[in-house]
Amino acid sequence: MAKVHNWQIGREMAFPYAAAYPRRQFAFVFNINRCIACQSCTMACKSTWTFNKGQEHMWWANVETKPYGGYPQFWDVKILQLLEEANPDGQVWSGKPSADKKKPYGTFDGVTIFEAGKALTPESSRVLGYLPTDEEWNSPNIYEDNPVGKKGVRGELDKEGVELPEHKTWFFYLARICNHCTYPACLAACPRKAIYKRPEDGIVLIDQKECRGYRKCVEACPYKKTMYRGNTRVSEKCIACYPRIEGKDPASKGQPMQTRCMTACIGQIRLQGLVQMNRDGTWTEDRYNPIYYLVHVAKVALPLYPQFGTSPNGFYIPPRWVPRPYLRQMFGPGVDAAIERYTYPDRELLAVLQLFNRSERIIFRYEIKEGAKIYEAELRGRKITVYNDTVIAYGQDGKEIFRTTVEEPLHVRPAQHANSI
Amino acid sequence: MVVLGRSAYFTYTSHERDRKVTMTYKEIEADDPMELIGVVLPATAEAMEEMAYAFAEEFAQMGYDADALLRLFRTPFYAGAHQAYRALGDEAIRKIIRECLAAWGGVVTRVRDSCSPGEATPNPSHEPRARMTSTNLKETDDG
Repeated sequence: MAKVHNWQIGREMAFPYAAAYPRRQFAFVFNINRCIACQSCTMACKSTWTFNKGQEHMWWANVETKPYGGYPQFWDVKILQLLEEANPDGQVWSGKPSADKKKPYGTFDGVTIFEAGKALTPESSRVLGYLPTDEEWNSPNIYEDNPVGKKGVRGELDKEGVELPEHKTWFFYLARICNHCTYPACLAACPRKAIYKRPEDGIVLIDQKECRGYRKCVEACPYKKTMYRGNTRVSEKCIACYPRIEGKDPASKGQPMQTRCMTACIGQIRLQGLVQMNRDGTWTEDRYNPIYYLVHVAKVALPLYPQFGTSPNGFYIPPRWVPRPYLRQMFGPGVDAAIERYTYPDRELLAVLQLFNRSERIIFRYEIKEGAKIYEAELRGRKITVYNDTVIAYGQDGKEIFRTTVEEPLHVRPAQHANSI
Repeated sequence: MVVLGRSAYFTYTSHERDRKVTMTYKEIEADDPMELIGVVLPATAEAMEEMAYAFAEEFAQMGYDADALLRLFRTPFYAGAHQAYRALGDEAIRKIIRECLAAWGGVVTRVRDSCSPGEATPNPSHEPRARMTSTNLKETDDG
């Protein structure tokens, strides 16, 4: 196996192919603190790409309730378990999050799915994984948030459901699509070399003519975002709505446009972009690209399960209320600092958060025009200062897409009440 | 007659067709992997309160007013917010909303689109995130 540098785990790692990086990389940030699982993204994707016969079980975009849920069921629990069995008690991080772009979260000392050689069956396998069962694919969101009836009573919801025991608990919604990984496990596992990563934007695609439906990609992808289609006997996956990214969607008028799931989000939790890549696989310094800012400057957005080793390009602002050990396992050691910075946002972060889902077009650069201080307030001991700032978003062509201004509301009395105080 | 499936349908008499035919009901089988599995997870009351503050802050920043925020918590469809509402109670949630609006509710966010590629004139501005505090008050569109 070749050696590649994976900045998300802060070290060199084994990968079946030599390092090769796209010029730009499709990447996105989801703010979990805002997701209410309305499933608008899920349905936008479903109604665009996977509405045909044979695709009934396919949800390229999905939202699942953590920690109970998963699509397919138990996907993350199962791969974490396999890694733990491959390297008992060794799946740990060392060092601390730092400004070093080659290891911003410290170093992962355990084994990735590419390095768990002894646990691979058969030995010819390249990636540690498993094939979910049909049952695990077939019921997305089963038992998540669903009211159930009384035991023994059919076809009727429990009218006194509030009497069911309520526990002190927590949960959050995890929206997921293919992460278009820098080191894709699906690509690494494919014996046909039918999976490729586009040099222009890093989008990972399956060549439908080359694919013979061996399902090695389904087995290998730790996020389970490649899926087998029985009636065509080939595998399919999220294509990152590439006609929109290319600006070929009729609505895009030639300019790169965000994917369907991003633009359908009513909760404004999503921001998608294209980041520039260096030859060593790190991101090129691009200070005013909002994705670069959120991941590498503010460091509030973290990769999902970086320890898997695929260097996913989906990043998440972790939920504030969830116990930290769970979040550290899911997003790595950067969690504590990310939540601290998100809970006490500075002026720039507040402005950049205003860019989420304001336009269908991809933002390549932002600029902040600072305004006067409007007021100060305090919330739970936190000092909050609100400024009359304007954040301006620019597209690939360098032209302004939109500007968002925070303003003090001006109230005008209607004429009939002009003299009433 | 025992009705076993579609093939048996054509053997119905008119009398049998009028009968209410129901599927077999089975109790939960403990070894069925598709049955709900309970898992104990560490949680504290603070986690619930923190979740309520997070939702209230996020949506206050998005321009929700007190009524809209309260509706978010009261609506069972929004399971996370509603669970906090049930656990903490109406008054506690109202207090959280008041606090968050005092901190984040003093501004509106206005989005202005520029010319789309190929368009001669700018798109109209998005509606400001209006926060109507009473029927006597009206917000201007141009500040």
